[in-house]
Amino acid sequence: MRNYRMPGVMEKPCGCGGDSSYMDREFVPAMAYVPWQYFTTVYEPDKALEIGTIFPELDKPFLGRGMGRR
Amino acid sequence: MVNQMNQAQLLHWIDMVSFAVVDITEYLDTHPQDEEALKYFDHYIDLRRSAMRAYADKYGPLTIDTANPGNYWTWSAQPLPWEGGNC
Repeated sequence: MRNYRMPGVMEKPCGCGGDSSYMDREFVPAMAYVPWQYFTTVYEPDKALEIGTIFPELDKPFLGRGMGRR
Repeated sequence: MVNQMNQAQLLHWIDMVSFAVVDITEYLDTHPQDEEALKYFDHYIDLRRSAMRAYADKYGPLTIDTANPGNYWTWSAQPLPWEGGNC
């Protein structure tokens, strides 16, 4: 299985944003990049089944506009 | 615990633990050596197996690999989904 992790890219444990300088050096324009996922906290199975994921970081309901939960 | 559940509760429990197995399977596809994720998988696959066996013993098999007919082939004797059955 090819490792999807980009060598040399500065990884942030939370996978969230940060200064973009390393982006300029390592990332080619017009390409899409998915940050590496880490197994940290998960939802309880009952909530996960209802929401559709055990991973809070993937719990992104489409609300028709903008960000944030209902 | 699964032995105290009624049929609907047991089926919902099976849905929950099975969903956890499916989701962690996808994660493990790209993280094959993640120890925490492997432990999580082991935990929920055990829960699923025992729940499926308990359901098969009480209400009949949901999947062919839990069919345990003995002297009567219960597989096709259960109510079908459009007859109000569960599968």
